[in-house]
Amino acid sequence: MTYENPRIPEGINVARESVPAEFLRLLAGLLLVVVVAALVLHLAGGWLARQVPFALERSWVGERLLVPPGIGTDAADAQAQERVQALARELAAGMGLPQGMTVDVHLVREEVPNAFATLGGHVLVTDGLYRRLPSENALAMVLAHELAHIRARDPIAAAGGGAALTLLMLALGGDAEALAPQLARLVQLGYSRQAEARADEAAIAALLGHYGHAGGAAGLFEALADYDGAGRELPALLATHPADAARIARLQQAARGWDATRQPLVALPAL
Amino acid sequence: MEAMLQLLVFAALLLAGLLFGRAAERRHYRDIVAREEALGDILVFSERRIPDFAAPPRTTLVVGSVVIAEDYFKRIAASLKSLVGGRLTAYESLMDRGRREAVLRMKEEARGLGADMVFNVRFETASMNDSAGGRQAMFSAEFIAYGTALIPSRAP
Repeated sequence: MTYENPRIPEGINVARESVPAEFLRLLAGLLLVVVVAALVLHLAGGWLARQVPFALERSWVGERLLVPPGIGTDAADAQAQERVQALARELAAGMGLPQGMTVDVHLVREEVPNAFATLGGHVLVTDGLYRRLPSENALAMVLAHELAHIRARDPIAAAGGGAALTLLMLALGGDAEALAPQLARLVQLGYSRQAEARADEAAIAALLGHYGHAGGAAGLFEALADYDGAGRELPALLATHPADAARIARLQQAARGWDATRQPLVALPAL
Repeated sequence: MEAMLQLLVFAALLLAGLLFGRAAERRHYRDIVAREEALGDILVFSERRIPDFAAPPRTTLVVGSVVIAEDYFKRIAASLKSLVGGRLTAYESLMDRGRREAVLRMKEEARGLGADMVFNVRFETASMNDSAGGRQAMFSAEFIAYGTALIPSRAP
């Protein structure tokens, strides 16, 4: 019997495969799983939230305006608010809102031009936007767009989807409060484009019904382009609305048959 | 914005762990191979019984011990791998280095004593995971190799 220590070849106790390559593969797989899970949960949460009757949603929210932080909710001008509300009511009558669905429009004191629909059938229009709109037709486009969102229950669907994503983040043990909104924005990017396009279509139809033409509908974008061109950053809320060329082109196409001299735009009373 | 910053810090830590960890590992492996070559004449066996032909006038305990820490990349890669299971390749090289380094240090002690053989070599591994730190605790492991060095009479 001989006693010796032969040289042991390398690589027996250590894997030959590259650890970073395996890490990247696993990371890509994990991201895919998380994104798919987020998508499914967001859609499921949105679907569930849409099942909530509108009356229930309204009784939960009451008179409160649920808005993102940093946006004022003080009423701007009672008279103007009444006019805007009346216009919204006329538009809503033509848009076939379901039985019992009521919409409250609030004109709030806020320099940032913005308008959005929020929970409980509340639509918020800032006086910063109102001042910049060139005509009542443009305001009607904004209102009809937001009414269409409420008709489609988009605000509560977004809230339900967001809640489902927060649950997912909590389950994963991540920093739910910090990450869920980012994830929601990512998921909503594709989804909200569709919702925006649908709301635009409904708004064009409402404008055609109300004025007989869709002229001046693109006035909203002219107002925002001026604001953007002034070197200021667009508010984050509007960034989710892709103010892309396709949307403007669609509005201009809808206004093609419009004769500006025979069908003049309605002037918007100043605040 | 804040989440973006956190992600950037995480990526920077990951990259630092990967670059420094790999450099340290490569350097260590080169060192291990060279020293294994140099200390190849000291024979080590796990056999408990010392054969008659080798029965020396003196025997003594020799010990080699080393502590090796993981890097940030290894840790994240391992936790990711733990989700799906399989060979924990990120730690295999760390454990391999630890065992071989412990044997080398034991051999170096044996050489200092003039021994040419070590019998009854045993390994111990202890994880120095600080559980008090919660999930942020870094993993490191201590490796000990010990055995009975046979010191021939001609040795000092």
